[in-house]
Amino acid sequence: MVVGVSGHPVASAWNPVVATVRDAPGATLHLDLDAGRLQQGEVPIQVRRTFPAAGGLQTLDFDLRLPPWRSLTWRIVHDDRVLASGSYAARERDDRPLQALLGVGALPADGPSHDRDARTVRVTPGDLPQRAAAWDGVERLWILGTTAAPDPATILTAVAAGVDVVLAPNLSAAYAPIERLVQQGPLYLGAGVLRRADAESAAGPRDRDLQRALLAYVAERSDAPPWDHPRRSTVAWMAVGYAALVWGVLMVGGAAGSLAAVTLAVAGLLLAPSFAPSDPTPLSEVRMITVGGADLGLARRVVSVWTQPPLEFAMDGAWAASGRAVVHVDGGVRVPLAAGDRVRLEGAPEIQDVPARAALRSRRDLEVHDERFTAATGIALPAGARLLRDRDAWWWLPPREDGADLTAVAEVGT
Amino acid sequence: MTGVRLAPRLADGGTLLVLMLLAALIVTSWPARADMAQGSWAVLAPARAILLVVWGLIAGSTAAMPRVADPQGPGVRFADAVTRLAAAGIVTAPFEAVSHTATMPLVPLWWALLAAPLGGVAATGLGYAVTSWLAARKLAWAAALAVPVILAGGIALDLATGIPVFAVWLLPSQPSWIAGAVLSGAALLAATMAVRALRTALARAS
Repeated sequence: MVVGVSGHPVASAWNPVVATVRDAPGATLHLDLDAGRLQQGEVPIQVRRTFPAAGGLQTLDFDLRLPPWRSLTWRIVHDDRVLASGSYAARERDDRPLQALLGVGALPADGPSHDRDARTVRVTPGDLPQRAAAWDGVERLWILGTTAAPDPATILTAVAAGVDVVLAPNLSAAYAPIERLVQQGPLYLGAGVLRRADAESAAGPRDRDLQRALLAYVAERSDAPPWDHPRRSTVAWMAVGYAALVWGVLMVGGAAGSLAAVTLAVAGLLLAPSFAPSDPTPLSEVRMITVGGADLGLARRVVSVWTQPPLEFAMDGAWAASGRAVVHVDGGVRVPLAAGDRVRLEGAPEIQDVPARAALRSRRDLEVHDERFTAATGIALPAGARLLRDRDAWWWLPPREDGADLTAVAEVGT
Repeated sequence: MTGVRLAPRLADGGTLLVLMLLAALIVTSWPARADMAQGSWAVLAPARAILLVVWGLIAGSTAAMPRVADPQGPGVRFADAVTRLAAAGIVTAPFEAVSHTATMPLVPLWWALLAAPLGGVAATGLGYAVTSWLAARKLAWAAALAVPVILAGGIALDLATGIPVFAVWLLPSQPSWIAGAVLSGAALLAATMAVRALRTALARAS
């Protein structure tokens, strides 16, 4: 059981979770987190995943957003027997991003300076995740060239996912396909950059604080959809009409007036069910922001869900809800919602195709939110960057964009 | 001989004010958008409970105040107040029912409909009893202080026990058998007192 890249979980980020069993068909992984805080009490997050019902070596490999945890325990259960178990104590919680070193040896002296807020860990090619979400906790990947060359698709996935991938000088010939991409200088791809150690990197979308601010900004711009109730104006006419009618019959006075008022009240009670929404299912609204350009971008989805009656909301895919009790099951999540509740779910980041920046900029129907974003968050976008909105889809375009023929190198993952 | 008016005039300013306030509240808090899922009932139910209970306290206390030139007497005035509060509870019930239906809270509708009127009638009895006790000791002037103090003490007790009886704004959303029993008992007592006062007044008149 491995949580995090090379077993180094990063709190407040998506992490890969890999669990392997041998000859335990249908075994279940139980992973329990308490994401509560002192004032909040317990916020349980449960993960229940079932291994394939087949013999031999079976693996579960998925992404999970780890909130800052007070306790994190896991166990693998098969036929009521615990095959393996473990835990991460609160003191092992660390939200500093990783600086991963692929290979052995020291960092080149002329490379980018070490980020004091990052944790430096050694990784092997086998540790490198294949999915974009699993790279969420990695800030920089150093390729030192002293191991077998990793799959170029994995490296490009890391770049598109927002990792600053730095190539050490004097790499072996096995790295030639990747080195070719940086012959003309740094390659800005998706949300990240691929560059040589001696090349400077422009300010880009890799800034995690900026990404969080963008996601929050986009989520806040949601237009709450309407419930399927009678219109407010109808309610206004009926409420005022009823009040006036009741007042009128009470003015008549006597037994007749009182009886008429009671009759009106009973009629009002009988009419009340017609004010219920015809469709009591929860309302949801999806927003997506794609950061980066050059054909690829890192897309993050945020779904706002509103409910009137209490229910358990279920959704397919990998989602996280901050500060909420969530149950992650095979293929999706379940979130218990109280009456009148609202929850915001953040999807695992994915790599997506995006239109070229020039094509987006030429569109007149897009809203430009550069200044509005800065005014709302106090964060200035890098010069030349653009924040554009097309209804539910948002694009954050970095200051520069370098096209590259990636098909000759690799097919980038998801 | 002075006649006793058995049926009070229900179309008074208090009834009109409560009706129009609730009409305005249900319109302004109507769940037109997703983020107002519980807007209507969460606003209207506490407002209705507060209006009826505060009105009840004032009406009950006012009824017990000694007056020089009122042939009806405090008992009949109290019966009038109880009848007005009960009538207001009935005619405002559709507002509560509509907002409850529109927002679908967990609280059962019967509790939502009954809690506020029972609280209003019980508060009328409380205001009357406290002020009458003070008036008998020539301390009626202290009622304006004593009634709020008793209410504040009850609210403190509610918050300590977690069972709202006096904390009226919590009453609709937190149903409990204890609150139901206390309010029903107090309302029944107030209604009985009102009927007895009317009988006494009728007997005197005849």
